[in-house]
Amino acid sequence: MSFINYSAREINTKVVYYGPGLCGKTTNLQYIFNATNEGARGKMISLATETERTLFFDFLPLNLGQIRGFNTRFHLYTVPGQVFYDASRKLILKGVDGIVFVADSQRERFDANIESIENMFDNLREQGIDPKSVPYVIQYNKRDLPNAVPVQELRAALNKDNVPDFEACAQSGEGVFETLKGIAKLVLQKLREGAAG
Amino acid sequence: MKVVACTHCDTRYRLDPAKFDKPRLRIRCKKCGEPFDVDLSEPEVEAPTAPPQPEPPAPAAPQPNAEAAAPAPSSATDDTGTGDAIILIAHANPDVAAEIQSTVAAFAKEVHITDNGVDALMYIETHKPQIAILDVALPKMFGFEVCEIVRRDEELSGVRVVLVAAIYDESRYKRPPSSLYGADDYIEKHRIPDELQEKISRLLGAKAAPTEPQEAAPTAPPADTTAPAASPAVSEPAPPSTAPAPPAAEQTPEPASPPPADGDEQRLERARRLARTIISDIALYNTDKIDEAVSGGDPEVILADELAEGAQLFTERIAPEVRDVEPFLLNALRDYIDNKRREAGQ
Repeated sequence: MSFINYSAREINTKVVYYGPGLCGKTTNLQYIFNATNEGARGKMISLATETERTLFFDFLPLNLGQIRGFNTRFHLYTVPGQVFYDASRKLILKGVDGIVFVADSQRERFDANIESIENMFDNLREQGIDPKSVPYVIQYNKRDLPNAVPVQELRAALNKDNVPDFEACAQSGEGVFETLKGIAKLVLQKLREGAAG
Repeated sequence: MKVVACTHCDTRYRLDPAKFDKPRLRIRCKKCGEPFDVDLSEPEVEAPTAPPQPEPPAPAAPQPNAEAAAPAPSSATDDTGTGDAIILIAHANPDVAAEIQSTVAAFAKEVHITDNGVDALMYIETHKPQIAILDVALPKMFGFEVCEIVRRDEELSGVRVVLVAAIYDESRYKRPPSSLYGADDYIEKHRIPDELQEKISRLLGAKAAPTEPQEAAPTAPPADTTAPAASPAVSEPAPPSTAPAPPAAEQTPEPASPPPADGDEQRLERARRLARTIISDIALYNTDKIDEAVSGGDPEVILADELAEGAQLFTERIAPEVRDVEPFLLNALRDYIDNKRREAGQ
C-alpha cells in the first residue's frame, strides 16, 4: 500500500519484481542499483545464497525525484521465483502498488513463465486484491539468448491484459530502466486517480 | 454443398449442410464482419460465375457449431477433385488463415478453419484430418498444447501436425525450435508461401495416402520416400511419438481412466505444466545433479530429495482426482532428461 507522508511531503510506494526462478529479477535490481547515483538510492539488501537462490527478497529503495513537490520513493522488491517458495511470495506481495512481471524468454522456461504469472494472479486474489486493480507491466528478459522465444509467442501466452511490455537484457541493462519507468508511470497514475477520487 | 451469400456485402460462401446440427445458422461474414442468418433448408442462391475470393465464415458467438464450417474456396482445386485430404487450419489471424488456405487448397477436398485451440482440438478428435496446421500461440489453448494432446492419442496417430511459428526478428533470433511438441513439422509464418506446399506434400506422401496428391504439389520432391514421416525440416531429433508407427510407445501410456472431458483435459494439462515447471526449476538450481543424471545416472535416485519436495508441492496444488491420473513428475523428469541426453548426442 502506498504511503503518503504529507508533512515530509513524501510518497512511498512498493513495486514487486515477480517472475519464475532465475529469470533476472535480482539482476534488474542490481543494474538499477549500480546505475543510480548514491543520493538517489538506499542500501540494497539481498538475501540470496551463493547458488543464486533468492530465499526471501531483494530490497532497493529508490528516489525518483520530486513530483508536484512530493519526494517519490519507490521500494523495489523481488520475490523468490522458484515454485517452492510460494509462502514468501505471498508475504512480499502484501501492500503492493505495482508489479513488474519478469519473463524468461528462453524456450525451456516457457511453462515456468505461465505458471508464475498465474501464480501471481492467484496470490493477489487470495489477498482479496483484484489483479486488474494492480498496475503491472511485463518484461521479456534475456532477449539476447539464442533460444529466446519470439516475443509474439510470449505476448500471446502472458500478456492477456495487454499491459505495457518491454524487451530486456537485464545483464547489459537493456530495457531495465524502460521497464522501471513503465511501472512507475502506471503506479503514479493510479495514485493520482486515487487522490482525485 | 450449399452456396450462401452475406446479406450485407453479397460475399458468397459454400457450406456443407451435413456439418450442422440445425438448418438455421447465424454466421459472421469474414469480409464485412457483419452477421447474417442462413437457412440451409432454403433453395440456394445462384452460384457466382466469378467468385470474389470468398473467405471462410467465422462463427457467430451464440452458434459455436457454426464454426465447424470453413468452406474451401469455390474456385480452388477442391471442386476439381485433385485434392484428397481434410485439412485443418487453426490461426487467430484470418489473413494468415486465408493465406494458408489458398496455399494448401490444391491438396484439400475439405479445409476447416478455426481461430482457437479448443475448437481445433475438438475438430481433430471428431474429424481426424490428415493435416492440422496450428499456430503455436492460439487463443484458448496453445497450438503446441493441442499438438501434445493429439500426440498422446493413438487414434490420432494419422494426423500430421504442422506448427506455425511467428518470428520476432528474423535475423536476430532465427533458430530451430528446441521442441516441436511432437509435431511433424513447423513453419515460420513468413515462409508459408514458399515452403508450406512442399511440407504438406511430403507429409501426405509419407503417410501412405490412399491417393497421390503429387499432381497438385508442384514443388514437392517425390523422392522423399526414404524419409520417415516424422522427419521435420529442422535438424532436431523428433520425439518418438511422431513416428507413423510408434515403436512400443515407452512414453506414458494413459492409464485405465476414461478419456477426459474438455474441462478435465485442461486440468490435466495444467497439472502437466506444473510438473514441467517443477522439474525445470529443480534442474535450474541443481545443474550438477542433472549433469550426473544425463551422463547415465538414475535421475530418480540422484534427485530423490528434490523430487520429494516437488511431489509435496504438486500434491498441495493439484486436486487428488487429477494428480493420480498419471505419474506427472516422473514423466516430466524423464522427458527432461531424455531431451538433455538427445541434445548431448547420447
